[in-house]
Amino acid sequence: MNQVYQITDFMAQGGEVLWLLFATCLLLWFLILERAIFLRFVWPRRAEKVVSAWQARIDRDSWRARRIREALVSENSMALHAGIPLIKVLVVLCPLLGLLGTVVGMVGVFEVIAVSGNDDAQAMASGIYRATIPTMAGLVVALTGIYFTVRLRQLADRAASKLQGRLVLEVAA
Amino acid sequence: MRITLLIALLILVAPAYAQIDNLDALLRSVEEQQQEQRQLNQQREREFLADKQRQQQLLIEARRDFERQQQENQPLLQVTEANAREIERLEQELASVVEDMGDISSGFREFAGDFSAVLQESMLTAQLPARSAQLRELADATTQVTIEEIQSLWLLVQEEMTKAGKVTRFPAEIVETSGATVPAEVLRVGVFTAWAGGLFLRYVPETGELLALSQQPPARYRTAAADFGKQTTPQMMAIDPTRGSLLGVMTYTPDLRDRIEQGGTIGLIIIGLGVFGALLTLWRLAALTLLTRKIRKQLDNIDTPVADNPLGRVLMSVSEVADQEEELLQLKLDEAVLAEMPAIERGNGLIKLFAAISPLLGLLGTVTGMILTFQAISLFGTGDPKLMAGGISQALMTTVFGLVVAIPLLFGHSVVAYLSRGMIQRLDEQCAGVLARHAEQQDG
Repeated sequence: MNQVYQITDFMAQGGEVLWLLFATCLLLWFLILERAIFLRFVWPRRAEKVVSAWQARIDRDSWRARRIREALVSENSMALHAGIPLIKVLVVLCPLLGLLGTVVGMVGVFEVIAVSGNDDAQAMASGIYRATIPTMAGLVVALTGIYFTVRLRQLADRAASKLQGRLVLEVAA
Repeated sequence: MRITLLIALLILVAPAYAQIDNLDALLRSVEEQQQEQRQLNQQREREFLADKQRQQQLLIEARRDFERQQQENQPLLQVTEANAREIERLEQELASVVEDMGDISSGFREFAGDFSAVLQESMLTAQLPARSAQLRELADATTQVTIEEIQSLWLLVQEEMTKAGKVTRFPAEIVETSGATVPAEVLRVGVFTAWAGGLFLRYVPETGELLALSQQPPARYRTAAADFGKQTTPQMMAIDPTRGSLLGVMTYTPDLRDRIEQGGTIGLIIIGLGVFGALLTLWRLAALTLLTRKIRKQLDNIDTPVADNPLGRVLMSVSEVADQEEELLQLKLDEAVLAEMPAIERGNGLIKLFAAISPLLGLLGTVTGMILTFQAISLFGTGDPKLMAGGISQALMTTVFGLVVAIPLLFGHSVVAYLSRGMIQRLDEQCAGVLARHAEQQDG
């Protein structure tokens, strides 16, 4: 219960933007996890299936075969890369959301100044919280996500080229 | 006059001359008379002397008496003096007591006056409106203070103190935002905050009314207030420790319309861009989803290409080409895919442009807002921050709008670009594969 209060307090200090950031963070991590699970558990089996289906073909050299191979590689590469551009854009959005929160907080600070003058630091404090916390949170979320975007893309590229290598073009015996 | 006296003397002397026969007799008689006279005088002298002695005696007695009396007087005199001193002391005491009483009295009135102000400010007065009149009576009286008055003030202070520490419900009239006065059950937390039906109230000391705030705090505080007392578990409570000033200030916080107005023309341009961009994004999303569905349908029956989707059109373009003419087929396919691309990617660039422009416009608004601010400073100086607030709020609000527009547009562009790129990739790289697979299936 106490932790819940701590979280809601933190969120209240950071303002509504923090919730947006929280949702972005959740989506980002959901996508990252989905990709990780796909690459780790789903992909190897699928690759095996594709390779064995290719090996089962008699014709592995004709124009048709080449086109089919191309299509297979393309399909699977797309499946491997699915969601990665979204992860990337979410990582880019996080600092922007933080910036938005900061500006909203500054609006709050200036509103306090407009109402009560600039001598009441206590009244300005909530705006300042609102200005600093989202930036920090946005940067934290972006920093945790940025590694995975690079790593996941690398893994997907590697898996795709590996698949391409395994789909060998050869003249039927 | 003198003649009358002479005549009278002659008349008196005349008989004496008549009685006296001779001188001897006269002498004798004179001697006798003298003798008689002397004896008489002696006797008188004795009598006088005796009298004198007696007087002397009396004087002594009187003196003695006086002295005795004097001695008897002595202690009484001391008593008198002591009494006089006592009287003086008592009079001084009385004076000081009267002075003290005056001090107490004026102190009491002063305190009653101060407390009257405190009471007027206190939210409790909304619950107990009769108190302030009673207190004003105490404060305004000019007579010496009485024990009853002191006790009643004490009671009031005690009451304020005790009731200020309590959470109570009481029926009262509240003024709604529309201005109508309605009876309601008010929940009061100390002298800090009051609610009626989940609405935060503000106590207005000038009129003694409870006013429903036009700008209510966030909903979670209101639901907490509405639920208060219904649950037994600990729950969140929101009180205003400044006794209503914070809630009062909150009514000054601008709503969405005020904020849009603060953004000025540039703000409106950004919002317009944002709305247009959002509509464009939604249109592209819908169109791409529809196309994806149609392509999927087309994939299920490749034999009958339909012209309402890119895949169908691409398949149609190569339908006359024989399977064996590989190069021609490839050429036709590439050509057809290239022709489809603009339709699929339509709007992407514009969405991206909007996403890029809106923060720049926000920056522009910030700069113009700062110009306004510095104009205000050059005219009025930095003394009044409120004069600068207009420019600053424009500066900040346009930045906010810029970001608020840019973030969803960026996200939307990413999704749209992802979908369209995927679709083109499918057409480009997989169309030939689909054809080849289909031909293989037909060949058996």
